Amino acid sequence: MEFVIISVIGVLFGCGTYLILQRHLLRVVVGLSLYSHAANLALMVSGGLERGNPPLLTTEAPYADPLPQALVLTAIVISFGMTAFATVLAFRVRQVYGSDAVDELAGGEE
Amino acid sequence: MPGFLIISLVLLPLLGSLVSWPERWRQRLVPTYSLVPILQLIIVISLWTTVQAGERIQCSWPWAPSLGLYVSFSLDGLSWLFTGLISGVGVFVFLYAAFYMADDPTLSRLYRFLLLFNAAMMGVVLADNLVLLLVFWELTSVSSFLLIGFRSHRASACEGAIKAFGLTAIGGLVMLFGILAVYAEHGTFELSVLLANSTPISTAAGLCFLVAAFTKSAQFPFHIWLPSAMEAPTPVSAYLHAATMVKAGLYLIARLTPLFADDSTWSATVTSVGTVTLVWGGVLACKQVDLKALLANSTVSQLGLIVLLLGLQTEIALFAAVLHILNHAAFKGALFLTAGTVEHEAGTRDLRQLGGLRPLMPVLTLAATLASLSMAGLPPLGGFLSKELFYEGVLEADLFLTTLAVTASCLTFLYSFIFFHGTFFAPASPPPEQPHASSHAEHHSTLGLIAPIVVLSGLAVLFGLVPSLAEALVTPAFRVIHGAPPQLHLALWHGLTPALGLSALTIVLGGGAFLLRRRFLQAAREYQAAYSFNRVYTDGLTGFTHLFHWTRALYMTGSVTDYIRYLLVALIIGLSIPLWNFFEEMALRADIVHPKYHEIGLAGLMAVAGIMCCRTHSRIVLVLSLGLVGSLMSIFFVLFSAPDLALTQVLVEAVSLVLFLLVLRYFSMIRPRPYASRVRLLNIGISVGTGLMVSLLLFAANVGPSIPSVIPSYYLANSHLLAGGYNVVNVILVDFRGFDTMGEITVFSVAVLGVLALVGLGTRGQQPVGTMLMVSFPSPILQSFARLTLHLMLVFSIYLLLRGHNAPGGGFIAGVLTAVAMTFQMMAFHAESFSQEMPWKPLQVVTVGLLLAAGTGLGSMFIGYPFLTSAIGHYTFPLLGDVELATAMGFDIGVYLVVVGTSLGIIRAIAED
Repeated sequence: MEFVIISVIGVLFGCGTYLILQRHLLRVVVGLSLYSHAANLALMVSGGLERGNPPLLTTEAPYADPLPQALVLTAIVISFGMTAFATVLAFRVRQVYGSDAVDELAGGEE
Repeated sequence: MPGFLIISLVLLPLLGSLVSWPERWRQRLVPTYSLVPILQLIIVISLWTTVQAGERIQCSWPWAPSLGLYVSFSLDGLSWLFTGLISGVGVFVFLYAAFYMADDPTLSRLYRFLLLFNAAMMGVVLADNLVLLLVFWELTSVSSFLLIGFRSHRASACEGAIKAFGLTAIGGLVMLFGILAVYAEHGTFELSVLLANSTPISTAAGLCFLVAAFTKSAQFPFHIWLPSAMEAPTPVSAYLHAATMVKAGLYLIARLTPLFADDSTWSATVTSVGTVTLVWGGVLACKQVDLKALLANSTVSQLGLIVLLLGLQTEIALFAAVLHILNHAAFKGALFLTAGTVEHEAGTRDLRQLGGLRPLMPVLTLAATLASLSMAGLPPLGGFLSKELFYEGVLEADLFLTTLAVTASCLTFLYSFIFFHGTFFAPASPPPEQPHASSHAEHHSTLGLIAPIVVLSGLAVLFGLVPSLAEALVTPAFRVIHGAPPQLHLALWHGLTPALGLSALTIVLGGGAFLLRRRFLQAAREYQAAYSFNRVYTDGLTGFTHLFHWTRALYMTGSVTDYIRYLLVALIIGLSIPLWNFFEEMALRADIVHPKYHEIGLAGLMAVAGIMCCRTHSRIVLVLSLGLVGSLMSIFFVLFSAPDLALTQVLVEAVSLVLFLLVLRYFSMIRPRPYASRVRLLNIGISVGTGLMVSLLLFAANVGPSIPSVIPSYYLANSHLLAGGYNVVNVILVDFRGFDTMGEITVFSVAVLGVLALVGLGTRGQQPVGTMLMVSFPSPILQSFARLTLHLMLVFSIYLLLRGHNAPGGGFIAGVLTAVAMTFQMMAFHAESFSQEMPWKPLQVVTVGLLLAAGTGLGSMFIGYPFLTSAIGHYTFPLLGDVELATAMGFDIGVYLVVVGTSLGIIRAIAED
């Protein structure tokens, strides 16, 4: 199962990369979200996959590794905050500059 | 005490340069800066007896001893000679400047720069630690840069400053390599240690030091900066570019000479560079028409002479070198100041316009003529003594060198005569500048502008008339370089020696050239070389600029996307090599958990949803595909024993979906301008590569030797024991790693601040609510349903919050659930009316939450436990029975409030905009 999940992580990273390289800001934001999903999966895989044994001490041993779960839980919330910020940023850019294409916003230095 | 004295030589000017008199009294108080060189001179004189006894004063403080760095100074005969020059010439230059720039408001600034330079120069000649020496060495470059560019409104001043700084800084950099090489060889930076052991240093390191010395002392082919540096005010030229700074290179060569006594490469390099500079500088000096340019090139030539002598390394040559350092400071200082006075009075420094100043300035004429004759090497002046020794030195060497020496001396004779004759004696071809050079003007300026020149050229005469004085002054320095007291004695009359014959020859040839100068001088002045070293410099500079513009234009496209591409390509290449090596050795390990069909289906669906995100051109499909990935994630969490994560993910997905839908219509259509197929292929290539690399990296991590971790088992064993919770994930969050979570929620609450700032709703409520996009069509069904569910959801979220410590739930999940409930209300009713109903503003909720979380942690500190230590107790509540409560609950409530406030704040900020 690990290999299946790892392959999916690769696909999600690839898709995220593809989207981040696009012009449209909304797609860039979605690409970032895919990155964080892939990263969460990677964390879960690194802790070892375990079926039906949540780390609740009220049940019987064995338990799944609680550490990656704790990491992922905060990561989900943080990435929500990050996505929200990025979305609003993109949306304001669109409002203020009238464009949401990355390359149209570039420059201004020379 | 002596240690304190030599430190004060450096500290006095450094402190002086920090003094800034108040505006009101500045003009009156500005000459007080001259006290610094006067005090220095007194100190230097007081050290005379010590130095003459051949003693050495040292003092040292640790700087970074483990790196061999000490703030160590030492003063011996050689250093003493230079401190004497710096302070002695400094006194005259400082006094002169007070008159030269009498009413100039920038004078105070000039003095402070000069003091900074003075401190740097003192540091160079006193430093015992090579790194310390380098620091001061660079400081002289910096202060010289400031002084050359002093009149920064002139383009030529700025160019001169940059040129001087650039060339000398290259020298400093090369010297750094030399210093490091010395340290690598001998393990010390202390000059005194190196000299005491007289350890031979590798030639390569020696050449590094020589490059530094040659750049600083304007030796061929680095000499071009010195004439350009003449843009500095004349007192600066006299001080830095005649008497002191350009002598720093000579000091360095002289200082290191004992270490390279047997190194033929060193002496050959020094001698040949010095010779070329001597002749070339002389040629250039003769054809100048600007007084300062003439003097600058003559300085180049004279410095070459001293370098040549230092390279010969014989007793006579070394003695001649130190003697000429002294003589040159006296006569060249006087001549530079003369150029300044002439320009000040006559309004020009152009030899073609000058002339006939003798009757107007008799005293100056006498002083300048004597100084010039000393430069020309005529008896009975100081220059004659060093010229005689110079001839003796080269006669010992070989005939070719002697020929060049005589040629160069003839050139020196010629330009010395051109200088004073052209200025004072020649008939003024155009009528002299009457208005400036009126006798009134001379009387007005007299004392201050002429007295320093008179004293300096008086010294030049005195050194000649009383050779024992000059001998006494330079002998300690000579002893340091040569290692033994001198066997020779200076005298004006040595008998009929070959050197005297050469001197006579020089006078004859030089005098002849001077008489016949009209034949060739005009032609020489008009001759423009097809290609000069200055052109090499400027062409090189522009060439570099073009090169860098060109290379930068190659990759700095201004497009962020391109920069991301660079990063990713670097990542792919950087990862592929070690991964390749890894998989050559390691075989893939089999799966630990065998996949089931529904799990493979889930994974496949997730991959498809990801690809959908890339393929779609519809904004709504894009957002929904992303939501699909998230939802599949939560199913994954359910399948693989992570109920908390599943809850969090599914709720966050709901809120994000609302968020995306809110802003969606503000974005343009996705495909206004598609990429060219080439770029598209590149993107796909990079994406596939990145995905592949990440996968392979994770494979590698999973097939590699796995180290059994003790952390999870510790948490599992102690979760209930120490923290009183059965839900280990939640216990980790609020207890074991509570400090991390504290950071997390702080970062999270920063997101809402960022969003509010972006939306411009920092001052919420003042702006009229704009497009109420959510409630264009109020639906009664939705509204009544929303009313019904609000309290249900809120109660459930409180339940999740309270049970979080022991079962799936907790502050994060409950917080997001509350946010979902509130968002639902906002969708059903007017966001505006909703916010009016809400008793608190989101930011207030966030603040209370953060304070509560931090307060819980601090509470444990008050009773003597570390930050965020949890306490557990059992309480009996009506209805609920026995409840085990941990203080971590307070922390979790804080987390809850932060998540609620932040999520709502973000959603509402967008909804109301």
